[in-house]
Amino acid sequence: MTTAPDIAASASAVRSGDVSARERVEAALARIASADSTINSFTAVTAQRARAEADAIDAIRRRGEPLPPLAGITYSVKNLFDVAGLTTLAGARLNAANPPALHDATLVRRLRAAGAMLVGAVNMDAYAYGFTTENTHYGTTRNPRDIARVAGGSSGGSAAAVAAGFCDVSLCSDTNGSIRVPSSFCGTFGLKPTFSRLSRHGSIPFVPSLDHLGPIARSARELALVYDVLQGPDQADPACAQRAIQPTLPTLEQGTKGLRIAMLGGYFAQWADADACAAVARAAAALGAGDVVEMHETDRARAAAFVITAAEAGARYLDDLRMRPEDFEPLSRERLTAGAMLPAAWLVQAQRFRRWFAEETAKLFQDYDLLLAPATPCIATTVGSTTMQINGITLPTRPSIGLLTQPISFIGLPVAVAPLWTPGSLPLGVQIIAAPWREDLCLRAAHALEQAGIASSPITKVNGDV
Amino acid sequence: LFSVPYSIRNSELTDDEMDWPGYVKAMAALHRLSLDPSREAEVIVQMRHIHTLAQRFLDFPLAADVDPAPTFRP
Repeated sequence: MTTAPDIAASASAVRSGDVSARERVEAALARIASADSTINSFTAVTAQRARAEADAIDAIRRRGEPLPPLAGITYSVKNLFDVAGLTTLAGARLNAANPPALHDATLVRRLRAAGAMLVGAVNMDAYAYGFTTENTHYGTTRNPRDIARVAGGSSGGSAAAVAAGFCDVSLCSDTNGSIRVPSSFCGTFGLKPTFSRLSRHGSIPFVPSLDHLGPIARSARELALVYDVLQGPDQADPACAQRAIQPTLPTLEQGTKGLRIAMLGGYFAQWADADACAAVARAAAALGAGDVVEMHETDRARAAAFVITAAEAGARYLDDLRMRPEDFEPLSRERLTAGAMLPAAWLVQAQRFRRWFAEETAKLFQDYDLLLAPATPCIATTVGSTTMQINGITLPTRPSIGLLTQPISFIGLPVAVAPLWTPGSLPLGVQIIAAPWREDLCLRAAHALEQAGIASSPITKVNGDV
Repeated sequence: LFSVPYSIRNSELTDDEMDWPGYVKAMAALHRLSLDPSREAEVIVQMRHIHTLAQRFLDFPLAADVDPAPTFRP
């Protein structure tokens, strides 16, 4: 594994002329061409666009004009984001014959305006309904840390592409854990912001009540740089919070001194294996977090999130389930069908419970600024596995990987994932959870774990790498 | 009145009491969904699983003034 310069250093190198944006793009495209056949992270490579964006950056530098903050940074997008000229798939063959998007999604526009260069769209679980990125129609995305294992999902293509060094950053979505699970499995840093913080305009929704968007990268600093560019109200998204930008980069180096940090016990220890518990304990020791607290009724929260997900996703796809069932992902088609049949009273009660759980959990933040929990119950599972063992209990793999992320996104709390490394040299992420709108604290703690030397996201070389 | 907790669990049938094949057939008819026997069997499995999960919060007493968490903004 190799430690790459972070994107601040890369942007600085482009700014100084030590390396051109075009050289950075060509290097990324060469890596993708030579090694992604092993990983299967990209569903479309946007070489022409990336080169044009790079040339525009290099032209600005030659003219001696100021460069934008992410000049020369390469990124990919989960293929549920609109990219002008590409068909937006959301991992689904259902969408393959749709016309190409006419415009970029809001977040893609913001990254482009900041000087980032798009190298392609990446694979995901169909509709974002899954935690493994085992996609019947677009193939399984392999984990660069161990290609016998899944990358996690549903943003598996994003985390794998970043871990393999195919791009610096990836834009993703997280409904029940889809940024945090692949970050944990692939050993990347991820940020799931507060619900409604980032505009979802120009992305295919999955569960509008629960969908979040956010970045995956190889350091907390990179997350902060990108997140600060992505923030801001958007009239095109009626669900987007009309809040001013709250920059996180200026406070990143402040450390965690003075912050009150606790570990989540109870449910979060019950559904975590020894590796997961050890990762949280190491993070807690490094951050000076000795207390263990319980988030009450977490099991019910996870159940309510599951029901909302099934009901909203089922309703969304009902017409296609009726007309084109043969085009669906077989791994989730009947779950979607059942979701479309749920009594409305269950959905309303789940949303009422969500309100209660949010208010109950808010009490924890009277005593603590940050809460720590594993992002996944265990390290990445192997491709094709249908069951997993957690503390002697056998669970179905695909729906259970999100046991520890689902209750948190249910109430929209911001979470950063920092990847720690197990004795078996595979990653396992720790969730750093804050009160709403305090992404700055999540990122400060994730950065502190890097500074302490226990969280890191080196690039893994894969077969065929140049 | 509004402080009296209530749940909707008391009106729900248990999994053993519930006629899931009949429910799935009726809902498939309502939605004009054509399910072959293998799909119908799997939908029943999924319904049972979701019902089991739903019971975990349906039997939780919530005060009547707890509103659903909305996202709609006019």
